[in-house]
Amino acid sequence: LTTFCGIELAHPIINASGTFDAIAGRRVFGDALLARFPFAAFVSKTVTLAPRQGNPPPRLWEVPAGLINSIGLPNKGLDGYLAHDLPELAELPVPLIVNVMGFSRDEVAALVRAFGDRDEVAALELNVSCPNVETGLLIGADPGEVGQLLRAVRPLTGKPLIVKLTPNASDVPAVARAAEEAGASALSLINTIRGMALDPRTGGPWLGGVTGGVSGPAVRAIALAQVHAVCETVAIPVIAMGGVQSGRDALDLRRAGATLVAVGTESFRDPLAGARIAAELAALEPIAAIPVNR
Amino acid sequence: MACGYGACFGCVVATRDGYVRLCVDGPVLDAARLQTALTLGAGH
Repeated sequence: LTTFCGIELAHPIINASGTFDAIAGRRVFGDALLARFPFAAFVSKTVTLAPRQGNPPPRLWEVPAGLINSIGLPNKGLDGYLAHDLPELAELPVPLIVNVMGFSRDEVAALVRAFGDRDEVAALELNVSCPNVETGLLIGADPGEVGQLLRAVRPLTGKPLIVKLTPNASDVPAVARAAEEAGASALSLINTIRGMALDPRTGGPWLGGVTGGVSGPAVRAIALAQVHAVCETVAIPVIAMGGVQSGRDALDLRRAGATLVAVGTESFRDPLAGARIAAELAALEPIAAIPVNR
Repeated sequence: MACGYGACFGCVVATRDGYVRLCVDGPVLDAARLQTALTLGAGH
């Protein structure tokens, strides 16, 4: 058993937000998905206040050892999520973590308030990889913005607040420290790294969203370095992710100080990757040296 | 395409009802739902 922010989990492997749709998965795989659910907690795809269509296709481009995505956070909006998604996600056999994103502090506050006392929700994850429309600053790249956001929303819920850090910041540990000082319960990292591909025929951008986020094994070493640096900086628990494909990859991130490890792109190849990685990690950890400072 | 089971939202096509995932809402769609030159009319 693993404890994370007071939540008991069967093992330390969860999914990265936006890389697994448990509702569509249940349509495809049936109740077998619930019987063999691959993650110890489920993190749902980012919810915004208003519905979003997402970016125009093409949305994906494969790179050596990874993937660039420009999906654009399609979702039904808060009201649609509460009416349609939350009841289905509440039936999952694991705790639910709801990922939310707002384009201003008021928007984030409205989302946190909406989920802040729902029994179906174990914790909230704040996606700060977006601009504050009032200041124009990328919230997650700026320690001051992150601190102000946390101070505004921390009093609105007693549930754990996880801040999902962006790697597209000049000083990620400084952002991590600002989040911790302003009351974040935990941190998760890394989000995708900004990348781009050109259409070989036209020479213009391939992705409908022009740029996208790189994920997969290509980013694993970057994730390890950032997780290591953040874990040296903060005392709150860390959810680590970035190109995890095996128990060994998960072990590396745990050795760097992470409490939980999330699987993202690897689930696209194998929906049960999370369960396989959890089993591999469980076999490795008893014989592995793990620093005691976690 | 990445996943094939509705997880990645990479395979969407535009329809009159918005983007739909071909892997879980297709792979065959009613042509009348698609935004093509034929359904949108001349000029497209």
